[in-house]
Amino acid sequence: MAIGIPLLVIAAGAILTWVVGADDLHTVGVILLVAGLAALAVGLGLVFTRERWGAR
Amino acid sequence: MTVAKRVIGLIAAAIGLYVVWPSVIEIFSAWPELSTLNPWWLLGTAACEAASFALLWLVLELALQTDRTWLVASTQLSSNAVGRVVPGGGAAASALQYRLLVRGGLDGPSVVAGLAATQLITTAIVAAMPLLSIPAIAGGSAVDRRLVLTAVVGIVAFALILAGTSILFASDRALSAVARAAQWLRNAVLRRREALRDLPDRLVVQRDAMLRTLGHRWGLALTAAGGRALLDFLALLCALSAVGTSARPGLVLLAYVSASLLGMIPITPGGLGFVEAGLSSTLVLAGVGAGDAVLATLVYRLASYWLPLVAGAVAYSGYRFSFGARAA
Repeated sequence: MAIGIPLLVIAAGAILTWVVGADDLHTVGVILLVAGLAALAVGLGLVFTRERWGAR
Repeated sequence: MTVAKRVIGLIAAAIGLYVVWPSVIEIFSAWPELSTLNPWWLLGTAACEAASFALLWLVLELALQTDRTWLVASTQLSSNAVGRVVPGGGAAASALQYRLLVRGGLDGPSVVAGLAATQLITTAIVAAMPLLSIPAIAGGSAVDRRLVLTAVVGIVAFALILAGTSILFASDRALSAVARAAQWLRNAVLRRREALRDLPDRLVVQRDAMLRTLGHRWGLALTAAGGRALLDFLALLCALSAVGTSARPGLVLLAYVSASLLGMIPITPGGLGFVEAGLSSTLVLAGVGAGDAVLATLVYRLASYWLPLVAGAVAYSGYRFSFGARAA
C-alpha cells in the first residue's frame, strides 16, 4: 500500500502526460506525476522505518 | 591466470571502446546544449532515477532479509559504481557487493541467495517490459523491424527466466545440480583458495529461507522491482520532455529495453558507448529526431550512469566511516 498506490498514481500521471495528447490532461498528468513521486518518497520512508522498528 | 584474464578483459574493453568511441564523443558534444533544456524536466529525470534506486534498495532488503537500509544502500551504490568503471563490471560489482555486505555483518550464504534473487527479479521485470509494447506494435502503424526484434528478444528472455526460476524454486534436485556445477567451476578457477564442498546444501537451505521470508512479502518485492523499472523508464521519458520532443511511449519503451540489454554486454564498463550508440539510434527508430535523440540520451545517461558513479564514491566513503572498523 505504502508504495503501490504512489506507483499507480505515477503510472496514471505518466499515461496522461505522454500517452494522452490533450493539453489540459497533460497538466493533470504532470500534477499526478509530482504528487506520486512525493507520496512515493514518504511511502518509502515509512517502509524503511517500519522495517527497522517493526522487526524489534 | 588472473593477470592474463585481466589483460584479456582490458584489451576487449579497449577494442570495444575504440569501436563505440565516436558515439560517446557525439553524445558528449551535445553538452553545451544542456543549458537550453527545461530544468523542471531535468529535475524530474533525476528524481525518477533517485526513486528507482531507492526501490532497488527495498528489493534488496527484502531479498537479503535485513532491515539495515544504510548498509544495503551504501553497498549497492558502491558496487554499482565499481561495475561502471571496471571492464566486465557486472561480476566485479556482485563480488564487491557480497564482500561489503558480509563485512557489514550479513551472513554469506544469505547474501549469495539474496543477490541472486534480486538479480533475477530485476532482470525478469526489464525483460517483461516489451509485453507492454505489444499494443503499440499490434496497433497497425509501421514499427521498425529492429524494435520488433527487441520486443521478441525481451519476451523470450522473460519466458526463459520465468521458466528457469520456477524450476529452481520448485525442485531441490535442479537447484543442487546448478549449485554443483557452480561449485565445480569456482573450485576449478580459484584453485589456491579453500575448496567449496557444501554449496548445493547451503543454497537449498537459503532458497527455502528466502521463500519463507518473501512468502508473505513477495507482492511488495515484485511491486518494488516493477516500480524500479517503471521509474527508470520514466527518467528517459522526462529526458525526452526536457529536450522538448516526444515519441510514442510504446516505442520509447522498446528503445529503453534495448538500451538495458546493451548495458548488460560486459565488454565496456557499464555498457559505456554501446548504450549511448544503441539508445540514440533506437530513439531515432522510435520517431525522435536525430539531434534530440542524442541530447535526450546524454541527459538520461547523466542521471542513470554518471550521477550514480559520483554517489557511489560518496557512499563508499560513508560505508568506510560506518563499518570501517569491522571492514578492516
